[in-house]
Amino acid sequence: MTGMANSSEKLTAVDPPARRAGVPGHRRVAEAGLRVFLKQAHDDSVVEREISPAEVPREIARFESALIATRRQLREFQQECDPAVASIFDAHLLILDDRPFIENVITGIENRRRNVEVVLQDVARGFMQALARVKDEYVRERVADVQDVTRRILHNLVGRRSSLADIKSKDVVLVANDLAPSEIVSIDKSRVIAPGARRAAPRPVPRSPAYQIGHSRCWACIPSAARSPRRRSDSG
Amino acid sequence: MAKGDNKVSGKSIMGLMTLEAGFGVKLKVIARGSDAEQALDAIQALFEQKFYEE
Repeated sequence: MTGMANSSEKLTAVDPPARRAGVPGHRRVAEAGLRVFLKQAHDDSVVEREISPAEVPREIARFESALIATRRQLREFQQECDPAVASIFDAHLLILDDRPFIENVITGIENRRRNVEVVLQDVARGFMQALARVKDEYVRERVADVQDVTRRILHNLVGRRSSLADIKSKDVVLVANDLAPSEIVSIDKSRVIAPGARRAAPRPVPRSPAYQIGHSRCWACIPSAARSPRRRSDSG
Repeated sequence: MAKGDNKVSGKSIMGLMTLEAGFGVKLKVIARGSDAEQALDAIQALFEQKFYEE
């Protein structure tokens, strides 16, 4: 696989335009802009801020607006995606409407006097840790759904959009290990001409680009570049 | 909803999942409020009808 960065393609900050070496997984050759998708620090980092009592209602209102925006997006995804995948978003909507989750964020803002982003991440982390302790594998896998919903709320709070959202207008070689359902529906899969991975696996794993895009294997494994300095981040 | 000492809110999908209430597990349903009796009757009917899935 040729992973040469196309000069017009926007690359993530940790992946400067450069030639990338990796382990081939396919005999064929694809040529397109390289998109390396990492979910880490800069994707979900938030700034912790102390708020005054007067700012509490405004933070709660921001949270409620982000919930409304997230609900609208999830319903749009449901309508746009394959019916077989749409049920995933039923689960996401149930998580979004989880009363204790919402109430814990609101009381957290009131009691801790911190901005909503920080409280949301902490509350979500608590739920994810509780789910991760469950013996049932199906339930443990729902941690990724809570993470995906939390990330979407966070992105709506800070006005950030997925860096994959522009994979609609040009062909790409997409390298990622883990794509969430809401990320998959936000891209045009026909534009991903060659899926790659960042960790070698004998066959595509369920959340990898190769699996999601219907390829029998990833085309290459391109290992992680040097990690950027870690900031406060829970869902990456 | 309670399973042994583990109690979670019935309004929390994430809480309910942590109950690990698989087939055959005994659950206790606790309702409070003016329509608690009605709510319990509805939940009982739901279980008796096997969630209308058969």
